[in-house]
Amino acid sequence: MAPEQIITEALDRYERVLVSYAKEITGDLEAARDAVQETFLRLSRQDVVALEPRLRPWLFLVCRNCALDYRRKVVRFSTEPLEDDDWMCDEPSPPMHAIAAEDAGRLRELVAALPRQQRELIKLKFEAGLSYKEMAEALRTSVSTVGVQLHEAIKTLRRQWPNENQGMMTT
Amino acid sequence: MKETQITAYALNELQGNERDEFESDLAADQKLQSELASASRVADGLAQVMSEPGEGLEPHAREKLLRAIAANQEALRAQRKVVRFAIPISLAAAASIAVLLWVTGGMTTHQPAMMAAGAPQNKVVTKNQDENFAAPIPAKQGVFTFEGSGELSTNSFALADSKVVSLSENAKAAPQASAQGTLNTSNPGAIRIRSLLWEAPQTLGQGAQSPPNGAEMFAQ
Repeated sequence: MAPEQIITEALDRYERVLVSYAKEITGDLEAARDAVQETFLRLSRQDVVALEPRLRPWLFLVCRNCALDYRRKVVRFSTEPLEDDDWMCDEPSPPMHAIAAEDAGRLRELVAALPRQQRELIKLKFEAGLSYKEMAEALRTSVSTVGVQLHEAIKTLRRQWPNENQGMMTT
Repeated sequence: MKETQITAYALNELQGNERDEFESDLAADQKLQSELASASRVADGLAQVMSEPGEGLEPHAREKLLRAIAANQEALRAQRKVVRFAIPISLAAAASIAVLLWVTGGMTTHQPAMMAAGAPQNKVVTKNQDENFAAPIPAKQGVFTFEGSGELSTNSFALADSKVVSLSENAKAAPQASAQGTLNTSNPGAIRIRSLLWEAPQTLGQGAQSPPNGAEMFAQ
């Protein structure tokens, strides 16, 4: 497959997912879009054919770095403290306030209340469809760390998201 | 059984033996089944929530991005083309230089020997007719007769005993001229006579190093 075709297909396939993922980090849609554009510009300067087998984690890794760069710049000019980027950190999750939830929107709220690292993992797994291994590569961490963090996130959601909402989600 | 395996199984991340062992445990453990059902329920919910399409790039920004990508790819192709031609050309140039250096280096290395061997007028013929000059002339006090062309001179050397060697007047010939002379050694022993037959400005036997184009004659 020609390099341009690989890039175009990757853009078609991952554009929205990457914007969403970058927005998770930057908290700003325009900044997220900029991060995605920068990601694909960088991709276009790479040997795309050689990169193709591991293109997906590469895209998320570069996009994440671009988004984090933006976030660092913003934080530098504001008083907002930067969240810990350390994937090995063992900080407890913030308390979840919403217990009763009845719809998908509620689940989104619960996800939004998770620590940023866990939110990123949820996005990478359920939006982008990355495997543990690909997530580990994109986040520059170990597969076991990914497994533990994602398990913590799911466990929290299991506690907070009541069973009775299951029927609503499947309709 | 690690707790994280429940989530990993629900997310289809357990493989091979790990998966088989988990399924074996699952069949016999109702609590585990319940935990898995709960994890799967959340995973299914997340899959639905997250699969909803979000916002992408603005159309004009996307167009601009595609143009920039095409331009970058074009530049990359041009760069690769240059590299593709530059490498063989560089290699060929390097090989040519190496051959040239080898040829000229070889000539330089062999030049004195070639000149010495190929120039009959450079020979110094001793009394013993030793044309090789590598073998010592038998020790003898007295007169050595020699002939050759070029300028001949002698010098004393600090070999074994320092000996003074004198050269008769008629041995000093002009460069490239034929000369005959008599060499008087005042003492027997180790002396060295060097002839520089084709490079007149050089004095024979100056210092410990042999003149590059000189021949040596030993007398003891």
